[in-house]
Amino acid sequence: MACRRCARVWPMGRDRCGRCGGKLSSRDTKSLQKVWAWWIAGIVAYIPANIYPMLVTNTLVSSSESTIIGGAVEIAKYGSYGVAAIILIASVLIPVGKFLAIAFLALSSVRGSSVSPGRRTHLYEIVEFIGRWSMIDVFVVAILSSLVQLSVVASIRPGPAALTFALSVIFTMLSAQAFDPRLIWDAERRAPNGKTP
Amino acid sequence: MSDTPPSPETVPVEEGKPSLWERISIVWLVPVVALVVALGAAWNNYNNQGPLLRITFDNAAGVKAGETVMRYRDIRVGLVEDVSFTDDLEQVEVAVRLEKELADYVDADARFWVVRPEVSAQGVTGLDTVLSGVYIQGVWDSTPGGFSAEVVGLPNAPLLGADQQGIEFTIRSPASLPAANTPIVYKGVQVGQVAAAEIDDGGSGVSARAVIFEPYTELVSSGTRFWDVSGFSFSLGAGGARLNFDSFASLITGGITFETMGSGGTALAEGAVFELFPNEDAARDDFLVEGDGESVTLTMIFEQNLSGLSAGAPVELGGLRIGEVASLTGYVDADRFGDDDVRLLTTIRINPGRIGLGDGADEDDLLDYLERRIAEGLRGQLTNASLLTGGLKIILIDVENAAEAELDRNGDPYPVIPTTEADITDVATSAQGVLQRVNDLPIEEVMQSAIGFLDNATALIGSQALQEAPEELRGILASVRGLTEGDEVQGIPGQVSGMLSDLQEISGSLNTILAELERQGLTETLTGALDRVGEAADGLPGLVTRVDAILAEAENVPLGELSDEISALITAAEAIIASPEAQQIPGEVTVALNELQSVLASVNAVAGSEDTQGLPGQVSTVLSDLEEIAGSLNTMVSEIERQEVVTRITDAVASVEQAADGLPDLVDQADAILRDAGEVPLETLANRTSDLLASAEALIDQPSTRALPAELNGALEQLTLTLEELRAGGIVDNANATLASARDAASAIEEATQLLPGLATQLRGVANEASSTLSAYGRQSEFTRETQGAIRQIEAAAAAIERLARTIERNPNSLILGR
Repeated sequence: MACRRCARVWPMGRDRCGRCGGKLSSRDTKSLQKVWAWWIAGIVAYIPANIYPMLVTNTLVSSSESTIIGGAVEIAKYGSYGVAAIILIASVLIPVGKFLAIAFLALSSVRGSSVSPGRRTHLYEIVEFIGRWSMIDVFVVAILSSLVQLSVVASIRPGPAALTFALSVIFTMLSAQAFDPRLIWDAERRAPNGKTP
Repeated sequence: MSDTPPSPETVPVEEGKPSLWERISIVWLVPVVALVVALGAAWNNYNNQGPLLRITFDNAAGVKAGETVMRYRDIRVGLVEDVSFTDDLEQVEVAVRLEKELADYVDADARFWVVRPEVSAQGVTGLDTVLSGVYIQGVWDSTPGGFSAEVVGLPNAPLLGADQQGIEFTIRSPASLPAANTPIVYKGVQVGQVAAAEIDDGGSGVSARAVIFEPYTELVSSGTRFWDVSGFSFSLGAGGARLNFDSFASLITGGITFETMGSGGTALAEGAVFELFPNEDAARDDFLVEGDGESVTLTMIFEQNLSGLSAGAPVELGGLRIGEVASLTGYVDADRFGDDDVRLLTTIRINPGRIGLGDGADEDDLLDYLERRIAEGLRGQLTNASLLTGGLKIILIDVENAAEAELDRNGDPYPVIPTTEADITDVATSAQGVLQRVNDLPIEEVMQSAIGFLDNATALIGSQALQEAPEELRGILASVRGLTEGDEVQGIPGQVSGMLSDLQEISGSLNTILAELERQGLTETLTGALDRVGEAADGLPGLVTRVDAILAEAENVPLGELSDEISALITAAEAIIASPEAQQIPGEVTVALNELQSVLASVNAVAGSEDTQGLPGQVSTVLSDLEEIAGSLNTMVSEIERQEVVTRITDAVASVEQAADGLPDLVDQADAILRDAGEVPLETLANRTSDLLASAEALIDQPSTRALPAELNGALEQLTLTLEELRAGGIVDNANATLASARDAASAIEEATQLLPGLATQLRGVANEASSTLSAYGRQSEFTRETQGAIRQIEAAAAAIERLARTIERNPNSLILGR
């Protein structure tokens, strides 16, 4: 039985890791529940993140509010397709992909899947890796807000979407973390058992 | 025992199904909370949404859906959600999402207008909207009155802004009003504003809404007059040229100011109407006329249609201005006047308060007063207001013996005041008349008459008949001497001495009689009588005094005048003497002397005749007869003596005494008579005498008298008359004075004429200065260039800002991207 924190293997029956003091459990029985709970919270947070404006730009002349997609479309209109693509990928493609990936992993661990467990574990690792970079949008907003504060001439404030988007990212990260990858392999082992009479 | 209970180890232990709470992870709370928060937020958002207000505008330029905001007291209270057209496409409908808590205040009285940047002479307004875009300004009162979803927006900003309180009124003018948004300034402080002017119905004037802000509304009352201080005024008068402008700002922007000229009066009320006067003087004049009371409108119809009267001319009563001419027009009414002449119909306004009928006097009071005065002869009259300008005014004066007239109270449209003939003096005509009269003086004829008179006098004196007259007189004297040297005449003294001796005898007899009388005691009686006489004589000095007084008065008689008159008479007589008849007089006198001579000659002859020579003898005889008579008288006296006549005489003397008693009375009466005589107005008498002499003179001057010398004498008569008149009436002096006056007047006119070019030069100088001043404001001056440069720079700045604004608006990211 491996410690999930420091990866040291202990014999079964021990409930505390002797090295790091982490709690040991063979399986996290409530893993899937947690995954789904965080996943739903993430979705809930993601909806207003796309509806409400991400950035509020106050200039001398006007005040404009741009949502994530609206901003990306606007930028694309001015010909900056690269920038638009980055925004779209970072703000839309990746979060949506994460939602889908987590949902797929969670479902497949229960029902099984044609995708080999090895690939699914790999997918899980990608999701976990990308998760920490998903906050890039929020970082951009935070940096802009703090940099562009030119009094009345121009100022940029984070919109309500920034908060919900950050929440959404956090929830999906927690959701991904709550998933126990061992369940992937449990399903692999259960499947032959199921086939045996 | 087979029913041994199984050991605990063998009993299958089924794990108890964990309860739902145990199976469900605590993490589920997170999405639930998230959902609740999201739903709550959504509900809250919906719940707080205010009502939608639909405002219709004629022009909604710059209003954008989702961007343009509505402000109340400069705070955002709503956002435009939609901009669309009304069904008929005539107007723009703007849907504004209003804040919920304000909805109740937005009632039917709320006003909305679009605030746009505006650059005018008064300044720049709405500058913030240049950058932020237009916004909708809303104004409503602070009492909730129920939400009104459909309202009509104002085309322009109202006079009272969102945060201003004040009283609105109307300002009107027959001529023109300043531009919209002209400030109303009081002592340099803006206390109000005027909106755009609108032409009254019928085009009789213009009026504009105006507002006085709180708390300045107390400054305005019904005794307030407004006038225009826009621009500048240039006046040329007795005090010299005057260039007036209130402030440089008002020179550009214009302005209205006011002053409350009378205390009392009612406070400014919403909707009051004031007149705008072109300048302060006009405003003050109007106040003098109008006061704070209502003026009464009346009409007058003048027979003469004279130029010079104009609207605004004063109407005066006893030198006091009580009103003014409101308007004037021609008037033809054949039915009323019986001819088609054009008459002058003037409408005047009179303020009852100015006449002194009291503050509360109304139209009826004034009409009653006028009716009374008109019955006494008060009439309207046109007269000169200024001799120089020829302007006229109307005065109300009392006309003596005026034709019957009365106030027509039912006149249409106003009561009619009767008028009298105009009293217009025309300076030019008068001067011309004077010169004409001088010109008409018969100087030539006067000179010719004088020459003729002197000729006649010379001819009279040099006539032969007059020179012969002394010779004739000498002849007469010689004849008289011859008569007196006759013997008979020489003999008369002797006879006379005989007669005297007889008389001596008579007196001797009388002496005897008197002695007898004395003897008989008559003396005392006589003495008494004489005493009486003496008493009577005592009264005589008084009498003498009276006489003296009379003589003194007589001395006071204006003998000089009398002598003047007499000399005038003599002069008149001279005139007669000068006549041919008079010239014939010497001849006649000669004839008369000749006749006299012949008479004397005949007397001489008579004296030398025998009868005459015998005359002394006869005289002697008469004397001897007288002698005899004296003798008989003597005898008679002795007879009287004998017959005791003395007693009778005594009686007679007593009678005389009685008579002497009456003497004082007589003296008194004489005194009285003399007093009366003294009281006789000798001066009057003298005057009468003078008059008499004048009459005599007149008589002599009468045509009948003049007819004697007839036509030949005409020139001389003319001269006499003229000289008489000249001397008597001082006409020459008058004429001299008149001529001198005329000369003075002419020289004065000449001086004035000489001054005129100077005045013209000054005027031209003033005009040049004004023109140079104005031209300094003209195209080429530095001021203009600087002003133009400044304006151009402002324009450039505005353009730059506009470009910047447009760029930023179009491309906000350029700020971010640095482009």
